[in-house]
Amino acid sequence: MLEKLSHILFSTRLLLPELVFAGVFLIIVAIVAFSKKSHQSHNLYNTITISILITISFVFYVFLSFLEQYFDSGVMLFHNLIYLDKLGIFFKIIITISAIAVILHLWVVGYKVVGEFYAIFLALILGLFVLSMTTHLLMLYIALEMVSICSYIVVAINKSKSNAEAGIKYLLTGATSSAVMLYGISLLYGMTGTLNFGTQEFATFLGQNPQWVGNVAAFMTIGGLLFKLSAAPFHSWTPDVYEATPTPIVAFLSIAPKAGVIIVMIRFLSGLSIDFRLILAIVIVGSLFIGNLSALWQNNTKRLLGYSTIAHAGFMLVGLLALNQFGVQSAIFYVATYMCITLSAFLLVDLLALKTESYELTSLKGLGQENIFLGLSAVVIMIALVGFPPTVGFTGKLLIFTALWESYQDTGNQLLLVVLIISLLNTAISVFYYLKIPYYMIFKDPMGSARRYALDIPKRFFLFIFIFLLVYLFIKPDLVMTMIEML
Amino acid sequence: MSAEQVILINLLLYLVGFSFLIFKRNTLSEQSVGFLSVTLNVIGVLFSMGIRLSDIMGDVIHYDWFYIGDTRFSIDIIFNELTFLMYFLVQFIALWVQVFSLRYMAGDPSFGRYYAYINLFILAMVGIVVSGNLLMIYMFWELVGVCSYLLIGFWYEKQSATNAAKKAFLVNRVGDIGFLVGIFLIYRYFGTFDIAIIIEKARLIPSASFNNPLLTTIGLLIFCGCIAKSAQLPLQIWLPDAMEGPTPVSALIHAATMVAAGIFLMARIFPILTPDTLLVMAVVGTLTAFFGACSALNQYDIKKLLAYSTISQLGLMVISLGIGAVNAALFHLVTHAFFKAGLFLSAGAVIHYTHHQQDMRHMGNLRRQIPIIFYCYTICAAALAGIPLFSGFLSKDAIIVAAFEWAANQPSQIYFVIPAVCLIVSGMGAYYMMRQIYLVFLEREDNPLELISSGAVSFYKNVAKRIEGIVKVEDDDNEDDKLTVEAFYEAISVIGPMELAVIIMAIGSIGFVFSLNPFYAESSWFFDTFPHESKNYHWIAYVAILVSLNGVLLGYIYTKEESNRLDKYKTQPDGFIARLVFRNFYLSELYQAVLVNPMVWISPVLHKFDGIIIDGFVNLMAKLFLNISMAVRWIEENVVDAAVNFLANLTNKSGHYTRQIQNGKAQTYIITIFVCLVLIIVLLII
Repeated sequence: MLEKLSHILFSTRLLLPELVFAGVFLIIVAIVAFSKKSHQSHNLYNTITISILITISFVFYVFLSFLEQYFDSGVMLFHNLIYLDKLGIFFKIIITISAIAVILHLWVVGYKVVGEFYAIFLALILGLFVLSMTTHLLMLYIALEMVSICSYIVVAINKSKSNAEAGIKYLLTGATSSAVMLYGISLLYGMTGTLNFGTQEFATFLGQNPQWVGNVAAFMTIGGLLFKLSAAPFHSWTPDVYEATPTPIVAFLSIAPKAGVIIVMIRFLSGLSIDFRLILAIVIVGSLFIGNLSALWQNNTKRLLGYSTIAHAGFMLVGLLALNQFGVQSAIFYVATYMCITLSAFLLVDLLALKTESYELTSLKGLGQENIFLGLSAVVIMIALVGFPPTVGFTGKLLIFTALWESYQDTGNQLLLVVLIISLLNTAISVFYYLKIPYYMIFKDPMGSARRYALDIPKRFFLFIFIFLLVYLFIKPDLVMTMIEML
Repeated sequence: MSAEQVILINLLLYLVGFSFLIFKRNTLSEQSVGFLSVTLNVIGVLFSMGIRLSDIMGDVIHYDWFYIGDTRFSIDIIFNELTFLMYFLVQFIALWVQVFSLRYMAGDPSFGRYYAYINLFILAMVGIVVSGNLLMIYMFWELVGVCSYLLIGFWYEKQSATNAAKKAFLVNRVGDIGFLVGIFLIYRYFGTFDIAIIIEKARLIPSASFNNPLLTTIGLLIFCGCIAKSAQLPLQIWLPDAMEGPTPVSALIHAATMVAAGIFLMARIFPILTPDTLLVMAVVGTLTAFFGACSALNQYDIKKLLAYSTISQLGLMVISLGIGAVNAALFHLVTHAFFKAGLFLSAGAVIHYTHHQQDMRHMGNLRRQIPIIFYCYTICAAALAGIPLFSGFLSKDAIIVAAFEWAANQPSQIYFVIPAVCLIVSGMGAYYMMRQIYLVFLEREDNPLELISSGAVSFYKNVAKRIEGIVKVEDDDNEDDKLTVEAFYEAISVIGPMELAVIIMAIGSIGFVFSLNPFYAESSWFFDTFPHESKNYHWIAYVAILVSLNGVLLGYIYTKEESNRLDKYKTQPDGFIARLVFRNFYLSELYQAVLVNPMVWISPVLHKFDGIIIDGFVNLMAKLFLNISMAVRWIEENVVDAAVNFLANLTNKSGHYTRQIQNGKAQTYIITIFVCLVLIIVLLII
């Protein structure tokens, strides 16, 4: 009994950041409930949230360097419910950084959101934290539901008709995929008798079943994850939600949940003792084609980026398909760099919309001529999304494709080659719609009389940081790569 | 803070100053520009003093720069007494030139640009000084050339200014090519750019094989750089034209610091210079000193005269290097920097006062209007003329004595020409300075010698008193002197930035600053740090004094006579020799006729050749390719494009199809999920 208690105490100590988070969540709820509503209050919330997020990311960083003895091989907490290792902490840092960027985005562009949003937002992040440090299916389900429910609320928080519609669609598809996932989990539990997919017995028992049974159960289990990743066939909510929701929130949804899901996928796939590559390949190919082909027809920049995230979900999984150390590392690298790219893309779209007051592509005509900085930024960001040098998008794509090629050379599995060729083909297709944005901005003549469009310093600076990172990480990918190799 | 950090920060300060000022040149007010720039410079001067205190004197510091293969190229910073000397000198003179410019350039629409360029110049000049390898020196050397170009052509609306800037730049290119080839040869011969290592290796060469042709070639090629930058014969023609720039710039760049860079460079690499090289240098220096002094004799333009005198003095320094008296050359470099900067700044003040009149024939009687400038000018001129008690006497004396000693050790008597020319040049210097003072400052009917002596005495008293903080003048019994107590107060009250800068330069030209015994250069602190061996020809000093005084006397007598028959509107003097001397021996015209005109003539011919033959061939090829490409285009359109278009249409159509699923109805979405699920399961079972 005493042993268990001390184990719980020890576990609690290592989960300090999450506990702090829970505390801040309560504090913000209290502030929102009891403080007077004024039009300035969002500044207060912004400040509190940013400072707590920065603190937490710093704490993680400290954890990463000082508590190495616990994290070198990972440590099980709360009797196998929580599994904490360096990889998890790295992803938590990614999530926190993107959260900071999103709050800054809210602040810089001047969104005024209700106070409840901040509380929900923190809960969402907490859910992602839990997601990124569990190998327990039950814990996984709870964390995923926490993220999902918070996301539904966040999407619908503006209370307008389109928001509500998007929220409902999101909720329905989400609930469906949760149901599928629960069914899958129950199948897996039935087959293996354990809920912890990181253990040896899980692998052994799963391997005793027929190939297709295990595959179906595993596929259903990752259904909920694919939903959060917005990968085919659970992608359909994406365009509607992206179009209706405020841009900073979309930016967050386009990276943070995906990062959380990718780490769970890494752990789940490495614990799986069956050949799962076919299904993964189908998901990848489906996501790539649906995302890229549908995006060709979009006239709304946010919808376009929505389809683009579907395609990028496919690219993220390509690294995992390689099923080797290098593949996993390049997938992590891809996620880390995709964070910069997608956040900057949504920021750019928002800054453009500030001027045009619409997200239609045609309204962008000639904007790049009026503000050359925005024009150049658009070129750099879109090139990064395509994956051309000299941006970090190129490095990321190069790494995952190399990993896949190496894996093909090692195993000789034709499937991998097919996926590789299709991925390259889709990269080529994506050029057409990504470059539409800079094309409209720079080569089309402005509508009506010439409009001068000047950005104020914080906006320009914020965007410039992203542009700088996109180019700088291309020149020095080691900055991120050495960290990833350490994990 | 270690010394290399100090230097790095110092360089960065000027870089920041340059970029900030060039960026904000049109928005900042003159006060803020001046304040910022002068502050940076004051910090620089303080830093340079701080380096003296640090303990790394004599060290060489290396930083890795880049690799080509296994060959390492490094950034080297060399610290020795020479570095420190120039480091301080450049910034100190620059500081007072900047202070001077506050007033001189006031109201100029490009005030900010001017200060930005000055900052860039100081950066480059300090860069040359601290560089420990030839590659870096070359880079900063070129940067200095660019600054010189920018500042000569500062008033680019004036055609003459842009022409002068171009001339200076192109002439410098000629020398720099030699310098660059010399650097390459050094790398070939020694395998490094690092000066410290080069000198170390040169020491190891046995003295028998030291005087070899290759090493001599290297020395001469590097001397080419010095010839162009330090305005030696035959490339000195750019310096008089460079006077088109603002006068403070002439003081800083074309008198005190940049033109001395050549001397500095030769002093840096002195140990690798072979006896043959040194002899060539001595001869070139002699010719330059003589011809420069000749041309200075009958100039009308106040700045041109000073420019020719600069050429002549630089020639003296090169002689000193050539005869092996490096430290005497450096000593003259330092004293010359002060008195020539003082002269130019005074000339600037005169030009400012006379509203941009530069012709000395239209001046005169300025002694009363601007007394402070007059006295400072006199001090600096006396220093140049080599009058005892002033700094120029000490350094010039050291050079002349060394030259005599050198000549005595040579096998032939003919070598005594060089010291003799030194003496003559010194006397000519006294002559033209006297002439200038007479024309610019004195009443045409006054007795100048009396005026100068009495005026100078009372000015010394005043200066001494001011330094002691006593404003009251107690005894001013010199009644025949026109400078009364009231005039003195008035003079004190008009001290502005210009006067202050000139006074500082004048103080720097007094002999006591350098040596407690103003008749004997060996006792100066300068030769304590830079050892200069003692010698036997002390009587030469007295001859030199005599020659200088004679020069002053002759200058006075002849100029008085000349001033009676001066035609104020003639462009050049009568008489063939006078005209020859006035036009600097028609060197510019010679180059124009021999080099530039044939070039101008031959280039249209070449152009025609290029147009008809080479272009014709190229066009023929182009037509050929055009025809081939027409054929290829046909294939492209009908075969390849068709395939691509088919694919693109296919992609587009399928995109249309995938979009159809997204019809906005939630039930469709969910059905899609289940259909896919079932399909996948079916696929797996099969």
